[in-house]
Amino acid sequence: MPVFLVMAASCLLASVPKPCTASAMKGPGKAVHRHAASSPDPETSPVRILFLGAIDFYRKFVSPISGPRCGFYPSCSAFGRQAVSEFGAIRGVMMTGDRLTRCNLFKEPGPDYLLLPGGKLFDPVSANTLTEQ
Amino acid sequence: MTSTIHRFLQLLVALLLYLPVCAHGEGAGILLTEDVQLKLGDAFMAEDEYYRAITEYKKLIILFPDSRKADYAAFRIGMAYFRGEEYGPAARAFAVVGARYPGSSHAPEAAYYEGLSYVELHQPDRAETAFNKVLAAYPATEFAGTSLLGKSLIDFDRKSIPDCRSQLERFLAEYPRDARAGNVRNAVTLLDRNRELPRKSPLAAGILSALIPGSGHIYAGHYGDGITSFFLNGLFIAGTVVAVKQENYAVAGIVGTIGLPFYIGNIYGAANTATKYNLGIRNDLRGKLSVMLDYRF
Repeated sequence: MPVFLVMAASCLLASVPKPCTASAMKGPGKAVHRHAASSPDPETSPVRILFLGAIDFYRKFVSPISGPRCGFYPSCSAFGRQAVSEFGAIRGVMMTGDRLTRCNLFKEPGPDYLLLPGGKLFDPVSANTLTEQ
Repeated sequence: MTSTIHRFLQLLVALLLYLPVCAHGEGAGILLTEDVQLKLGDAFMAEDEYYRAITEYKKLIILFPDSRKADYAAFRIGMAYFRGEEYGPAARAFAVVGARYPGSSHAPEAAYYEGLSYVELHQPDRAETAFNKVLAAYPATEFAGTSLLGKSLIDFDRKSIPDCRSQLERFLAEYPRDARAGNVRNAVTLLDRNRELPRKSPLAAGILSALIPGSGHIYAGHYGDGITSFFLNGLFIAGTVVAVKQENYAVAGIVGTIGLPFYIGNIYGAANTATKYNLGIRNDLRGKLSVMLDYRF
């Protein structure tokens, strides 16, 4: 008979489990270009550095005095830091000013703010970019 | 006589020695057929071991290139990638099915899933092309109607409600006896009722807040934010004005500098609130449409 007589083991051996990743594919991970541990792109704009420095100073020395009190996640300072980092000093400061105004007694869960398990309201930077996406 | 018995005994011993070998060989070996290869792939798919399933299906195509089940294996490769959320390779694998096996019974489904893969990749143009392929090449299959539903949602996401509606109308015209026709009719009615979605102009909200801080938020429906913004900016503006009137320019500069981000943020926030309002209305209608069509992505 013109057939292949192959041991079942050979089939299974061909697919010996390899180091798996957490992806849904459950196969070997993709080649990831690894870089030496270093900080992300260094900030070069002096204005941005100034604002980020001010926010970092607040987060490190002022905020811990009264503990975490912001009702949003990310907190207003974290929001401001991310906004300035991603959108630059001018737009970042505008977004931070808006966020500080919205962090008031009237905020409540709804279509704009998702209530997180910890009781905080989810309001990421990406939801405040003036784009209908 | 003795030699005959001798020969018979030799034959018997040889037979006895041979039989266990055959029995052992049959027990440990597997005849690798297309079916066996497919079963291996399907078994891995059932276990959600997509990577290994793909290997088995590829082995079938390599070992049995002329197999009548090669098209099924090629389709399952695409499905394994799709279920594994590797949408780029999935789209390519589904495209291979249509290119190599255009007459296959799996080709319409492959073309439809190619479209879905592009939807997941946020490439609506390519998704639409794939759905069009289903409609042009396989109009009599169930996937043609489903492709029309997919196209309607793509048009909705492009903010073109009339185009979305026309796709649904086309569905009703071409597949009036489809089980989903009733749902589609309801969806058309829903779109007719929402032909003009209520909108808040981000520009108007921004201008209002520039003139009277907080008024843009109130226009967009965020009353609490509007009241807060009005009083907060009012205090900063009043403080700056009073300091200027008292010729205390240093204080005016400090208060004004601190208040400026809040004032500009108030304008930005009002425009953003109007944008979010529009997005909320649109998402709400999108959700209702998906539920009504019993179709989503």
